[in-house]
Amino acid sequence: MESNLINKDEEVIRRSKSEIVLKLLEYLKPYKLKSFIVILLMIIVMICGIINPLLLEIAIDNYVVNKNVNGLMVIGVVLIIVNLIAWILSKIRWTMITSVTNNILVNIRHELYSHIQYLSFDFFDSRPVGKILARVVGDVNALKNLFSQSIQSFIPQLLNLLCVAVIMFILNFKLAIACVILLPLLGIAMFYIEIHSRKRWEVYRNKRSNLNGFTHEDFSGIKVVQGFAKEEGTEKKL
Amino acid sequence: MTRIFKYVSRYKSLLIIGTIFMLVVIGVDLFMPYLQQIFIDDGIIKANNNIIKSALMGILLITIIKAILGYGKEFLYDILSVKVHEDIKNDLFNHIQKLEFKYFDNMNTGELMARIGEDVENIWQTIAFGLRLFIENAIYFVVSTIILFTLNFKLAIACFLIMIPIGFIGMKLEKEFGKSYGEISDQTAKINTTAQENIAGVRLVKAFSREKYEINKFLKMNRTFYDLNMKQGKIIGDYFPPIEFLTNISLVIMIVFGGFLVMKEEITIGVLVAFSGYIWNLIWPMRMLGELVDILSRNTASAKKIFEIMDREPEIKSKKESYKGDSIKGDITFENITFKYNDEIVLKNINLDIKAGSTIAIMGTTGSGKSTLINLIGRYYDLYEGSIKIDKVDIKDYDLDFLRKNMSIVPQDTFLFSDSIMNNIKFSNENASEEEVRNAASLACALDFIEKLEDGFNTEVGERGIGLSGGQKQRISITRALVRKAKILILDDATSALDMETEHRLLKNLLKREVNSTTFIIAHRISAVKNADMIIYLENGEIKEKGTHEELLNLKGKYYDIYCSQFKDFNLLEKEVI
Repeated sequence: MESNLINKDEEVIRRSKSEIVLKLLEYLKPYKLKSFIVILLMIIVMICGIINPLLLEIAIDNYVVNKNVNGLMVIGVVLIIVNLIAWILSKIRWTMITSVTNNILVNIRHELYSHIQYLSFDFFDSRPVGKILARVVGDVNALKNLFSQSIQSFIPQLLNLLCVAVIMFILNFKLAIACVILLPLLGIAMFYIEIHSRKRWEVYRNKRSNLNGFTHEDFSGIKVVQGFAKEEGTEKKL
Repeated sequence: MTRIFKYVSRYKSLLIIGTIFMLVVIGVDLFMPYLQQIFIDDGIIKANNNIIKSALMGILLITIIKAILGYGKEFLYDILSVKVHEDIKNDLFNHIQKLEFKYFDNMNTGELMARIGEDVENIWQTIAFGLRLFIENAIYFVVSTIILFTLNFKLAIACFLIMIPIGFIGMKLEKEFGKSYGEISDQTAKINTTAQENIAGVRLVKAFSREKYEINKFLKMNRTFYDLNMKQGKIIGDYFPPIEFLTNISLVIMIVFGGFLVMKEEITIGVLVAFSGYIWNLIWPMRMLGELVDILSRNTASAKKIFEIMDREPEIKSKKESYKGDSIKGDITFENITFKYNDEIVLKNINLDIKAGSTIAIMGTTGSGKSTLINLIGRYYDLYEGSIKIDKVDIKDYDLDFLRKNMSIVPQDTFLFSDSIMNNIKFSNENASEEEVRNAASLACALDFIEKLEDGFNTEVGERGIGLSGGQKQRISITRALVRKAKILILDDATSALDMETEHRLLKNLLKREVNSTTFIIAHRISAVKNADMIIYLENGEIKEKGTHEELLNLKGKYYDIYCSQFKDFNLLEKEVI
């Protein structure tokens, strides 16, 4: 019998990265509008954040130096209003982003579970229960941060990078070029990290799934383990 | 939390070196603006090439130091968290293993797995990051507080007044998060349990084509999980923005109030500018407060669940000065045993005197207490009155490990590990030679079918021995028990899936074994128990009849009735064949 033991790693079907990313992006599709709004809100909140030091600088340079009390007060009030707006908007943003991520997670988990239900016995025969369990619960939870971060960090950061680059080129073309020269190096380093960390994570998830399989067997067969007073033996395996 | 720190404190050197690295990085970081200032003011503006060179070298040096130590810091903290995670996982697993059967009777495997998996991993993910964040921010906070107060007392006080509500929000946030994470952790355990039961029982699900029902059941769990996560998201939405608002407002207040002070000429404009620069170092830790509380709550919630299990002492364990002999002979006496399980009397007034090496067969209807009776011998359950003695020593005085190592048990539901048949058999006795394994397999009538398998003893069987028939699994399970040549052998309805002929042959083999064990056999067929030295008939937890085959037949009681019915069937069968 072809069997996938707890001390053996599962064979993972190789898929290209772009394929996986596309697959995951597909889950985002139904929430396109919401994701767009979230990004928009984020940008507005970010701008509100930038306004703070900007206006304060104006306040110091123009009003404090000239002893203009009214101007100082006006700026104070404006800033309080701006920050209040930021408060409300970021609250909406948080609610939306959690709803999008958690909806996607529910969908993926549900889909995976439903899919497993209709697999043949062969699938179950060749895998310890704990390993399947590791996929349904652990691995899906591991996706949690992906969606919230890809929407909240990746896309805004990319925009940020582009804006900064454009401003830099406008300010001083030569200097900007000098900075950009370093970028390919950074790209190579990131590429290297990505490949390595992906490999490591794959090993980790496999080992974790093995461990899960082992724990499950040990607890299910606790009568045998205790019956033969083999607790110490199994401890070592862990 | 303090208990987690006990684990952390095992790796003090990692923590201390990591923190020193961190301090150096922060210190060097604070030096950077100063160098930049020299570079611009003294170097470029005054066009002094030497200063430009040395300032550039300094900046380069600082960057390199920062990169190396920063890496070291991250790395050390990561090692720390991995080690702590490993220790907690090991301790928890070992502890769970030592708990008595009764605990497992009431506890789902899925839940225990969620504790060992998700909850311990939560601690792993949060401990290093949380600690680092906390230490880093605490340093920034303290340093900038001192600087702010030395710059201007009044202004500093005004800023701190704003910080008080933030502190309150942080405290409330901690409470709400704690509750929310507790619920999420429990729901994770529930999801794990539902999925585990479903996957383990997938054959049943499919046999009754209950897939849709199971999917819906899971979907409900999944939705509750969603609701809980949404609730947690709402807490973030409720508390994080006001924290951000207040930190921004503190900046505004500082400038406005500071502006007034400048106008009144209480402070110089330079102080105000410096103040606005340093206050950022104060604002950042405050902003991180939300995240810190988040991490802390997640950690505490999981730690609570973990230590709840750790704190549960095993009810059955060896006494402090337990008895550990060289070997045991196998004389067993039951004196006035009464056993209750959840207030229900399962066994009462059991008195037995069993000689070493004899065979005792136990019969009785389901629920009559047969398995319970033999489970008491190895102290798998312990709550009874009376005493059980092996070689005249109360079993409660034995070292538990010693006691169980001298027994061999074939449990009612066969359990095989996902491993080769050989390793499954050797589980009871790692030192068994191949010949011993083959002998045991031959006694258990398993050798024939194992050798017919393509890979023989190296055939890999799945969890619960999927791929083999019930009878084959039982025979492997019996082989496993026989390889350990223990003085007490217990077969708990271990031959139920065998046909009558194989069962008879197997039991006969047991009698002629070279190791003379006191053997308990629970069985339902007269043919299986006939040759036993003593046959016990249990009913409602009491011994109704006791004696040899002949004695019981003469008694013309329950045993006789069973004999007649089974014998009648046998006769009928013979007639039909003819």
